[in-house]
Amino acid sequence: RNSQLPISDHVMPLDRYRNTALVDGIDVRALPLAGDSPAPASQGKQQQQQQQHWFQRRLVQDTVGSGYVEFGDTKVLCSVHGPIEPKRSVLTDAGAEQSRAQLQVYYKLAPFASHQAGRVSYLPDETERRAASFLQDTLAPSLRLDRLPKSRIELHCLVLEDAGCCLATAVNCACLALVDAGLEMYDLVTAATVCRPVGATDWQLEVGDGSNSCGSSSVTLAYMRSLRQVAGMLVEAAEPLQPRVVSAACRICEDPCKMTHSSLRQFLLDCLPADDRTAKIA
Amino acid sequence: SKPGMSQPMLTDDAADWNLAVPAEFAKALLANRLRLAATAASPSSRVGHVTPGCLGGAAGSAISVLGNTKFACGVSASVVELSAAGTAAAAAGCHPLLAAGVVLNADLPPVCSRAFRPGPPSDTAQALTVQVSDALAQSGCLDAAQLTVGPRHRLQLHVDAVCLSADGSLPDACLLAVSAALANLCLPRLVVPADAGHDDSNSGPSVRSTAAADVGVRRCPSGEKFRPAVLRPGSAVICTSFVAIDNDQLLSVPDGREEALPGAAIVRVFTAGGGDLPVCVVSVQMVGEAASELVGRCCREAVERHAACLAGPLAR
Repeated sequence: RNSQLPISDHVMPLDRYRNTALVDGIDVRALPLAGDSPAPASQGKQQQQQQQHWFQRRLVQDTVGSGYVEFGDTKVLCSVHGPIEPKRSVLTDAGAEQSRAQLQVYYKLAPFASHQAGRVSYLPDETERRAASFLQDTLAPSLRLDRLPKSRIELHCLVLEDAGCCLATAVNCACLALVDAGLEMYDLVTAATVCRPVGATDWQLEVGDGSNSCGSSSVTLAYMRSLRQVAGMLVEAAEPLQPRVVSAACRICEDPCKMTHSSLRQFLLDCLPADDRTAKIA
Repeated sequence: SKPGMSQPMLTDDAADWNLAVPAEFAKALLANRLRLAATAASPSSRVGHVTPGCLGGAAGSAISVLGNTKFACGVSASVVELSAAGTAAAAAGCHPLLAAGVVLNADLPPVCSRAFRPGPPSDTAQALTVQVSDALAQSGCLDAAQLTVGPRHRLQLHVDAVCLSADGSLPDACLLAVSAALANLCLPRLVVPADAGHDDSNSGPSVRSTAAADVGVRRCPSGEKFRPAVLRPGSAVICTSFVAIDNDQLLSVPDGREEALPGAAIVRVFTAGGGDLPVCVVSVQMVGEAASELVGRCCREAVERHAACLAGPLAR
């Protein structure tokens, strides 16, 4: 099974446990068009369509809780394991380690997830590690981790298709999985992303249809509607942004977050048995 | 697999008994002609369900559902330029599937089960990759000639099967998804311009420049698509798993709990064929001991299930 690995000038981490290609190739989507014709212009959407989230839970059998969310063409699956034994770390205070549960988030794109040319490597890269860190920082404050001392909660997030608004959809899916796992939370965490393409001045909501490939800057906001608190914010920009610009982006994100919160809450209520649903609403 | 099997609802006492002594509980159920596996609920659940073309990031994709086991498979294509000497040198000593230009990996990420941890693929994942690769290579259903692009180029397919939920019969669900994804493959039409430069240097299978201008293959400007019949029309490669208990009872398409029963033998039958090709048994893999009559019965049932899959979820 050990295929001959190609020689490369670039030092890349080698994946020795999986089958690798004999020869490097070029993705067919990256090939230029014949006859030197320009690439067809992407059909921009004249009017932003309000896309709905589609939720599903209990998809994974051997887990405590799981959730699946589709936002347009973007598809994310999350599962929760735990509470399990905590990891020992010499750097953390022993008392703090034992009084609250540890939340550990793993984030990975499937090899076929990207709509851009090229496969996603099995080995996690910087983007995925940053996304996992954002999910961890966003979801930890919303969980009652003090109710589960001396334990660890693992959240695994797998993106099946990334057609835009991937990180925000992952936050929504992770929240659904945590609720399905029966973990106590202060509030549901929902997220939305706005982006500003190159040369544009206005922020536009990122949708999961593969149409916006925001190359300039984007702001992802995670919001807890009932508590009226921001759970997390991630700003990605090629150049520093003014605070008022970021504030404007956050204000645009707030309404979609509230709508997603309502949709998610209604979905969870619909999942309850009829008797429990009446009691919850009352 | 016996007729009349139904899925019971467990009471709290029964659930506790199942937790404490799972082997005895399973035998007691079987004695009363009962199975807990989701695949035993109906004939259609035993065959499985496939959703082709559901993942837009891949050229060919499918999601298979077999009871509580779910697999997502995506196929990506790239163009490689090979010299004749390089092709022979690269093909020597490597897996036939790799030599044919199909790079297959089956992944069992932690999201699908508590048993799998983050990091390099587990032994189960590596074994699954080998099982599926060998089954495809030995099936005779792959047509590598469909991957040829012009006189000096070839398509290279990356087949990635990712488990979404693991609950037994992993090779069954994986091959179902892989067969459906390969049948669903849709690529942009490629052209090799007449004035494409030819590089006569024989540098073997080492890395060539990946700059697009060096490949010489272009996409058709009209956006035309084509479907290479990598898997021969109407054919598929399918695995059917069985659990043999006491050399007497046979459970087809078992779930994770039934596969883990102590003293039970697992028999996996790989079948291939369909369309113009006759359906035949490619290989039989066993874990444990089972009587030859039982293995023969497994092969017959596997061939029947292959025909049912071709008529059902894999019908084109």
